[in-house]
Amino acid sequence: MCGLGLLLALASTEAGEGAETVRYPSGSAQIEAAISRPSESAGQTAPSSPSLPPGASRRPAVLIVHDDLGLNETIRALADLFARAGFVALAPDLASRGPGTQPMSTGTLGTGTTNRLRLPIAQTVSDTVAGFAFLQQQPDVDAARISAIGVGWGGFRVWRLAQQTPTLHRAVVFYAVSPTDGSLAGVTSRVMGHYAQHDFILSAGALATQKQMGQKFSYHVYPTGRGFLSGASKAVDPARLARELDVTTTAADRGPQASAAGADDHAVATLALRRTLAFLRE
Amino acid sequence: MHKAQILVTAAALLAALVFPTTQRQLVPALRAQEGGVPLVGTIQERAGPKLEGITVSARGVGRTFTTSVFTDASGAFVFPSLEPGSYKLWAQAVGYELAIGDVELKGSVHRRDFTLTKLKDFTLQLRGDEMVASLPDATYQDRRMKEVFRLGCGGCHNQNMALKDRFDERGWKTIITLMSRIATSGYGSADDEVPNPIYEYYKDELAAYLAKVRGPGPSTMKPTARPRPRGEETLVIIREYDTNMPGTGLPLFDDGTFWHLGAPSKLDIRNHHSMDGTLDFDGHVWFSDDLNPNPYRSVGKIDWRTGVVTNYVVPRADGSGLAAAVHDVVTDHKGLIWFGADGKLARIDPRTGALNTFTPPKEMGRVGGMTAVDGKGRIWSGGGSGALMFDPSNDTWAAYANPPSAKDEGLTATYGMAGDRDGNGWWSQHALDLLVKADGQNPGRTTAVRVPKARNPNAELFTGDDRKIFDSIGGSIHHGRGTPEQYTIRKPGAGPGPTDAVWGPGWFNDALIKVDTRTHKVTEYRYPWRDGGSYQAAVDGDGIVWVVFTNGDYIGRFDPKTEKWLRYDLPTLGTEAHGLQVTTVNGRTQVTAPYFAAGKTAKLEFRTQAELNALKAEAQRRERAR
Repeated sequence: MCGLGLLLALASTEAGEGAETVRYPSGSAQIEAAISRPSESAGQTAPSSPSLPPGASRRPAVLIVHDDLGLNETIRALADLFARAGFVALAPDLASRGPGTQPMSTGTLGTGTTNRLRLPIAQTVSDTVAGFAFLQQQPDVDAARISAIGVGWGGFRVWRLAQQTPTLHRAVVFYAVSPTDGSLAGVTSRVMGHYAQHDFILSAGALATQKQMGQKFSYHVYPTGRGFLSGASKAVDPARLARELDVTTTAADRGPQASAAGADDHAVATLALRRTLAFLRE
Repeated sequence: MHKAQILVTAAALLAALVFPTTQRQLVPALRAQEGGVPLVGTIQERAGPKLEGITVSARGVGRTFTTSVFTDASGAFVFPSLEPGSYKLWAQAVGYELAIGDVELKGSVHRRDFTLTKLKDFTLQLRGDEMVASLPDATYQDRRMKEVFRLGCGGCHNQNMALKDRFDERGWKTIITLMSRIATSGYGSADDEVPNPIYEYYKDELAAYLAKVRGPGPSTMKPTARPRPRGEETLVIIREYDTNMPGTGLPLFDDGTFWHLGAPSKLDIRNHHSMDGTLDFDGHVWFSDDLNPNPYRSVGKIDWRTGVVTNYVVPRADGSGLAAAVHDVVTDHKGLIWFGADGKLARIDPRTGALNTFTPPKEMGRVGGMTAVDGKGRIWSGGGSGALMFDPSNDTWAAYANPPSAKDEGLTATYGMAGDRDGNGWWSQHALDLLVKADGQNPGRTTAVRVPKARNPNAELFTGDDRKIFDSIGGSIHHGRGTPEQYTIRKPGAGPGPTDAVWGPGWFNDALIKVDTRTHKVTEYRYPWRDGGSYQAAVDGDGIVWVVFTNGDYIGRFDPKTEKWLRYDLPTLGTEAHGLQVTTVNGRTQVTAPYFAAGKTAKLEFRTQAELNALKAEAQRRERAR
């Protein structure tokens, strides 16, 4: 579906029914997560799974893995946004084995929950994989159309999920480090990356990722800095983002304009999410 | 003139009046050890000619420093007078087997000749620049990977450390993956941290190339040694002092002493000292101990005659009990030692050992690790996104921020610090090849001087995404070097000698950049050598520019009037010397170079040909008299 069509589709959806808190098993632990479910009519213009009979109520799903700030309001709002677009959206709190997501102390990068708690990589990957398994078991989820979105710190976990999970439908990473163990060629899911031009060293890594994955990986670089979706700067207002995604039906699908002060992060985030939704619904 | 300088000058004048000409000329060279024993000899190739430019080194048994000299055109070497006692004496040159022996210095003179035997495979003896020169480049693909290696694998360590051992393709991939996240300090990080994208992009091709070059099978490498020192370049005396942990000297292995063993491992913490060094007016060596958390030393003073180290500690304010880490250490016009420590500026009077610290006003932030003195005796410290200036004459501070840059311009990290004759501060924004001038008369005012792109024909090897990977990274990477057309100027040098220029050494394009401190005109001076990795420049009291080459293990001397270069080879392999300071001691320029990867700090003195001739004549006279 083209960008404009997608926006029309979004405009026709209704708000989700609101998030609830669930716990899902990961080994012997229970991981806390926010789950947002679409309303009855949300996202019905999206193509349904060919494996389901017409009219079936199973929905595509998306696992949203937070950045280093944890499961905060921005990530919860993203989950709601995807529910409005017709997805069952599960956003785990990967700090919930411990004290859970903590408020940001200073408003600067590097002080987020995941950095302070020094969460082990392998454990957080396992908890991400377990989140995928949890979605597979949901009666209202089309198990063939479960995708994952990882933001920053969470993006690396989504890459690991993609490496371990051939049945993952799509993966989307926002300004995330790609694994460097040479195993990306084995990823069977298609992956889309969103990067910030001024996040120079990390973003340049997209070229290496594409070299390994070929056409299975596509990416976009935006004229802004890291954290445009949900960074510590809080430059992006999730509610406004949701409103604009829903109602900006006549906006052309073009890139945000850079200025001396950099691009408008709202414009960048809106465009990146449009592309993400289109990609997940292909 | 400061009292100490006056005293030194007066002593030199007195010496000139009292001693006959020959002895007066010998002052810097022979006064080292009064009553010592001249040690002389000749180096010859087995069934071949006498050899010039051979490094000959002597180390007293149980001592913590090594003295090195070089053979002249007749193959002769003459040490400065050494204390009587037991010594290890050895001679080295790339392409020859090590010659080593024990000598017992006693009597009026000691002679020890060596015969050197050619070595078939001398790959491990190669210095970083020679290692690069030896890499194959006959095909387009080889040239590309040689350039990627050159750009990427000489930042955190020398190229000879990278190629010391041999691995198959899979092994090289593993190493490149590890290197993609390693910092210059040599410690790895988690695999979800941002890697060096160039290593990732070129990993497969580079691993295949390195497996051909340094793999289990026959190598496509052709070991190539650079010319040995000649003429004036052989007149240097180099003393290298151990700067490892207190208590012991270094064993003579894996510290770069013996070249046939290959470059030292920087992962060995013994070798991981020192960061910067300078000299006081008595010729004693001062060095800093960065990136090596310890409770015993922020800076150390080495008695140049005995090698005895006295440690000085600026305690960290965080209650850890550790000494503050120090990057640069410099000497001001009065002979006082300055350095940044724990966000403060620290000063030591070398004659009394008194240590004082100076804290900037809170709103100006912390003192950074880069330190310099300007022509007006003010202390500049840089780091982060700007610099501070401290005037010790009235205890005042001024703060300077980097000039604004467009966000898409690239990485804006700062590096180095220099003070010019007019009292301005200068530093480098290495990723952008900008030299920043801080106006010493107008607090807060800065000017950016942009250095044009470096000329590098190898840049044409990269097109499409191969080119884009370099263009995307925002300039040169702090630890990983970077792009084909950048100099990546690291630590610039300016006065306080009679110069109206600041000199910026290109880290990975072979040129010294001169910026006129008043007109800001930029001039490029190409080095007569390749891939040495110039890192810091300094200007002596005669206006001579000195440059340390971190990858090539040598120090360059440039006379701006004649535009003539001399190269002084350091006696240790894999020094990774990042710092260089010049000081006038007894009216002569002396140079210090700390070895960041070989656990030593070097002090260089320079003899004249007449002094050397006089020394040889005196030694011959004593030999005949026996």
